[in-house]
Amino acid sequence: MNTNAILEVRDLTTTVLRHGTERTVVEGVTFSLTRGRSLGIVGESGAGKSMLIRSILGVHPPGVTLRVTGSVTLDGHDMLALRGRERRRALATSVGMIHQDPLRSLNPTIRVGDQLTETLAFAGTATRRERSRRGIELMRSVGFRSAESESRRYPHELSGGQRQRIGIGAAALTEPALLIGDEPTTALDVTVQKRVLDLLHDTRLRTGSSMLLVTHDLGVAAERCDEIIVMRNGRIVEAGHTSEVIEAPQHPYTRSLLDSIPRLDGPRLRRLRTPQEGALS
Amino acid sequence: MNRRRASCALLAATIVGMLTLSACSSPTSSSSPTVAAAVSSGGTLTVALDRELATLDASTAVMGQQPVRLLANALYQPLMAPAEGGTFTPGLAKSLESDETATHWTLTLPQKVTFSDGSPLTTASVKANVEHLADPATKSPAAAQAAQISGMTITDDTTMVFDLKAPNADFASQLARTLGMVTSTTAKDQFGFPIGAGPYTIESFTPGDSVTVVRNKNYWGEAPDLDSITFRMMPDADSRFQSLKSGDVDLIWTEVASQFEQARSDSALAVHVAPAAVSALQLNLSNEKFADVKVRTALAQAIDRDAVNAVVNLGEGTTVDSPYSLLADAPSIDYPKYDVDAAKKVLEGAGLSFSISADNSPDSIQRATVIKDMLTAVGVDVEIVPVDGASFGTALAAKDFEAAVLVTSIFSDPSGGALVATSTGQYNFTGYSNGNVDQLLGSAKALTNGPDRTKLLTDASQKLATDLPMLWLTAGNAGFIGSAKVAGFPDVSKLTLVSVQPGEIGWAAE
Amino acid sequence: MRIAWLPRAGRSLLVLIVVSALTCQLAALLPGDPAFVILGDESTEAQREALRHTLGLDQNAFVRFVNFMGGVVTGDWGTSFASGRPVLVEILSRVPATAELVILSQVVALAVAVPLALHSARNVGGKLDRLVSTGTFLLLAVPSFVVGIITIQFFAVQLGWLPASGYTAFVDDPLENISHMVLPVLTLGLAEGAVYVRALRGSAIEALRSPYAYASIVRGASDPQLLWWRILRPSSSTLLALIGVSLGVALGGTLLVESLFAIPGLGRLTVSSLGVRDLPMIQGVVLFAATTVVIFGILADIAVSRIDPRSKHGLV
Repeated sequence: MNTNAILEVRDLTTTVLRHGTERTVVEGVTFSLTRGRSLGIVGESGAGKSMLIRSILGVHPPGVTLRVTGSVTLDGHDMLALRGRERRRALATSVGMIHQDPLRSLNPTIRVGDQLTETLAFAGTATRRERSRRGIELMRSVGFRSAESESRRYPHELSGGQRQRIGIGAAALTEPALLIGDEPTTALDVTVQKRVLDLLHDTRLRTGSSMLLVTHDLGVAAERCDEIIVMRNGRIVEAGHTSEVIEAPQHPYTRSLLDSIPRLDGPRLRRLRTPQEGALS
Repeated sequence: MNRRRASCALLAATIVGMLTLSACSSPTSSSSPTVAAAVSSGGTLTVALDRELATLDASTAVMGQQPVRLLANALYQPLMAPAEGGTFTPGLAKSLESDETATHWTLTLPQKVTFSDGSPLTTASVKANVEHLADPATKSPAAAQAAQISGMTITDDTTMVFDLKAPNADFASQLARTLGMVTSTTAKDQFGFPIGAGPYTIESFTPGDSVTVVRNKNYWGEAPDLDSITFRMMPDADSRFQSLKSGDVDLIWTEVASQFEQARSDSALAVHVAPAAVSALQLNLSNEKFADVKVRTALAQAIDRDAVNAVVNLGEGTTVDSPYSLLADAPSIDYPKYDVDAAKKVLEGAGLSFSISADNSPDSIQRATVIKDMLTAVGVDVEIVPVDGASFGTALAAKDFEAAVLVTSIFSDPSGGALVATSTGQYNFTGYSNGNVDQLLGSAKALTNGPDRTKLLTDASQKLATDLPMLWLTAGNAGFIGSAKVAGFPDVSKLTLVSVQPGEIGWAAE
Repeated sequence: MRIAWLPRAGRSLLVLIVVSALTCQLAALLPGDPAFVILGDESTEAQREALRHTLGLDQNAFVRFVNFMGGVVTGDWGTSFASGRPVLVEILSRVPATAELVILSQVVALAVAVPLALHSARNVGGKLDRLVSTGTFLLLAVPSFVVGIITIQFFAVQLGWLPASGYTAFVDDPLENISHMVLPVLTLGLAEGAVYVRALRGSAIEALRSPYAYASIVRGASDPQLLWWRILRPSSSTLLALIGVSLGVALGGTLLVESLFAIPGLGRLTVSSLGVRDLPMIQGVVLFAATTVVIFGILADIAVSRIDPRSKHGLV
């Protein structure tokens, strides 16, 4: 047991109940995240990464019922036992999430400044003026120069990179213990990706947050995370320090993932490799 | 012959009654006997009408219609009023008498009659009013009736003579309608309507919705009991009846047989009706299907008029067999009896098929359906063609039909027969032309009611019953249903046109 | 108002002109003769001919249309055959009753529909959702006048709490006015509300599936905060468009409810003028109804552009 863990997940199993049928989407997941460090959660689409996050946070997808067993301790909160107001408070203070699609994760009908500080609005802990001040301050800190005027804009008036910076700013608002990046760079082009990841890194330094980075891009995880877990079909197939996982993968699936990354210095292939090719058990 | 004697006696009594009453008539009472219920003074009554009025101008068609009579009587008391059996008695007028030729009619007004603004209503006013109605610019349906007057001679302020272009023994009936509603040609009220001389004046008017009338301060006669009457316009028959039952309104006009039936068994309600709407199946004689009188006779024999009365009128109402069936001296004639076998002999296998046009009220459609069933039973194929109200009149006038169910109140006085049966009659939609009948009715027009007239009418009716341009059906009830606490209602059951003077009715005294 | 309003105004005007032209043409095709209705059964053909000429009924539809439009711009919409009063005066005198009925029922419809739609969307398939679905299904299936008759039978005839029909102007007697309005507003409002619930619920379910809803939940939004502050606005476009159409059409006269409850509004005026072939009035009422539809369509578009900023830039 890691006493310095900001997040401790034990034997987490999630079943989806839909139209009378059951499907297990997360099975027996156990891991812990040390305070101040970052963990990459890697896997293909459908591996269960997003469901894992939803299970930890306790936010079920619309119209779907989840049954979650096991234990999740986040920043001292027993997440599976929390209800209503307590859960909302825990989420607001301890978690900040950065979403995959910067355009769709911002409400098109609300000004960005208001969305940036909405955590405060929902908690009811700050006056309108305070929120406004805080919002402008936050925008400056994520790189908006004319923050006052920009805070009154709507999402569609910003570029993709700008939107993602708003997302990061909002996640960092309460200086949460845990930042979760849910495929934060997938929808961005490479140059913007780097800037966003750098910003994320700087923010972490500032707030001292730990980080969960969910991605299907093993390369990004390798670069930015201290530790990696690899998921397949709802289970963890590999876990460990980044350098170990990358240099000496234990599981054939991990190996095939690595192999499928296109390299400039590798053999010239007719067709890119997918993880299914190569030895699999 | 018993009937003959009885009708003679009734006729004599009526004439005596008229003469007596004209000598000492109180302007507010009609000649029909008043129920001796004590009526308290004051209060307001809410009445539901069955049609919407966009205007209260006395010269318009709607003011002359039977269901609106109570309102018309309140504002523009007509010169003459309907009495029993299709006769007429003075209303506003003191007397109306004709000479022997029925061409010159002398009208006498009571002394000191005034309009609602206090200005005098004299024979000059009556003349001016008739001229106003005759003017095409007024667009009044009464123009057609005014057209029969060749001249008016004023003897003095209260006496005048109408000279008619042709003899018309039923001229009195004209003065019971729009022609007799005397309004001022110089003064209008705050709503822009020419003022009348009735016991009430208009207090408020919402076109298409409601009108409230209040006691006329300058009324020249005996003041009415009710302080005010509110008329609400509710075209939906069920809605109207529900409003009566829930107490929203106190009195409604209706022609729905089932409502009369329900009301009769409800002690909180009272029914005041008369058989006022006659229905008859018109046959378009220019259509070769109806050319053979044997066919027409068979059709008449196929129809059980008593059954029609039982089904459509729920037994209320009566069967009719001539244009004069509702009148005091109704002719007794031989009308084809209900005889299915005789009908079948002619019609079965003959492949006769035609359409019946009816206005699209539920009543008319039901009537047409009943007839259709009866005719189907003898081998005739009938199709019912519903036509909406406003188009129905036009279709009839243009003879754009094969057979049509006509429902009308024109048979409420003797003039109605000539309208349907003479070659030039305005209601002759069948195209019937019989020189003999023309002659009989032409002569009858010049005669006042009496045995001679009755003989002519009977002969004409018999001809109609033989030639059968139209198949007679029934007379249905129409009239008022009201709260039992509304008192003073005269017995209207013998009237052929339900007309009640608002001055008579009011709330029952405790 | 950043919608390009000039072409929109031009198109609206064109719509009104076409509607008027069609009405003049259709009115001419109506069977039945207005002269007959005015002069009655006992008039002669000669008298009717003369009247037809006076009323201008013997002109062809195009001439009448041109005269009508010419009059419209100067405020003269013609003279009613039935009442002899100016058409525009008659129409305007009926507007207060219809406007009150329609506006109050919209308020009732929205007050009921919005909360139900939002909370049903949050728990699709849950108890509230199933109840609301059944309820709206019933209301949509049952015609408004049947609902009206049932309410009259229950509240007016049986319980006697409210009047069965009729209307008193608010300025005359506010309390009477309200008591007369309750049942008709309820009848109309529930019917509209059912439509609104289904529309908003659908849009809200969509919005709840979006990432921004997830984001707000993770930031600690409670259900009411989520639904009312973050889901209602993006879900409203369809609803606003519906309200615009509904309001515009209804202000032209809701004839079933007005006839049933004897309210002297535009709907009743339309029915009665059709029945007596009052051609100038028919033309006037149709033009008025078309105008309200157009105006409220434009207002709805403005509302949508303010609710959803993307539409200002033509993105929605």
